[in-house]
Amino acid sequence: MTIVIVRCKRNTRIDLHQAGVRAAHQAIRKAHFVAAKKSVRIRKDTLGRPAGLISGRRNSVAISISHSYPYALAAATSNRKQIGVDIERIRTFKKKTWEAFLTPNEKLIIGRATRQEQAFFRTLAWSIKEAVLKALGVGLRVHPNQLEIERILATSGHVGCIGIRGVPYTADVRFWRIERTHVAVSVAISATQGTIRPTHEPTR
Amino acid sequence: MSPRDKAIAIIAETLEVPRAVLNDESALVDLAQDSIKLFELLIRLEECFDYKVKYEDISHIESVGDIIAYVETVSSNKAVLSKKLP
Repeated sequence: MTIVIVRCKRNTRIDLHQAGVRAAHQAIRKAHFVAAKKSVRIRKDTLGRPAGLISGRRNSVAISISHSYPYALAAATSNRKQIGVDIERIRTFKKKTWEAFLTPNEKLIIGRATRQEQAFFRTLAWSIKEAVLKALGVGLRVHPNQLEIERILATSGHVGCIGIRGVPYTADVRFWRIERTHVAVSVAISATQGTIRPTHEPTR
Repeated sequence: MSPRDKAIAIIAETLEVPRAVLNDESALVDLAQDSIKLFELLIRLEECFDYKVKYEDISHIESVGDIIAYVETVSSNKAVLSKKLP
């Protein structure tokens, strides 16, 4: 997976959108060794996810875009994976908000961190869930507390296990802290013919 | 306060936008700074209308008008149910 992050000068929706598209173009060209800018186009697939098209190639390229001023982040993949990225400003959530999107185990793990780290971990948890939901192409049609990422939070590992409604999936999760203000996340889940498959039997 | 007025007040307060800029066609993704704000909006709506939102049922919601229609349906369904209950 190739990831590109660009800075956006102005905090308007249009500027951030354009920065995201610019980042996606760069990511596609880097991932697929495409020199000409004009060879790459971006459109939406049937699930509403952005996808890249390269002139002369039959298969579209899975991409994902996110922005949070002053950054725009995009990822493109050169293999058959479902990908999602998210970038968020690190924030102190309202109690009702984090209580709603975290699972009981995630609350326990984050509760062990210092007060300062808790804001980072809660933002990271949201960001991972958002990236997973984007990779699956479902967005907020699935409640974020239906995703369990406690093993990733506990180990900070790159390859982690994500539970989706009690079914575990293997996912490559990477995250970066950017200038102490933002956190960026990328998630790649193996895909077979456009659908994801559980890697193990359900645990519950 | 009608469900419509209540919904508009919640949207304006949660997404931190003046009520004057809200109309039925306003797209929620344009009003909200990010997805966290949209999630907070759902939590506030659940609280104020005392209703558990079924996330799989809200995929069609894209605009302020969609939210208003949704809460109006929820409110009228609740009114019907409360009349039926002894």
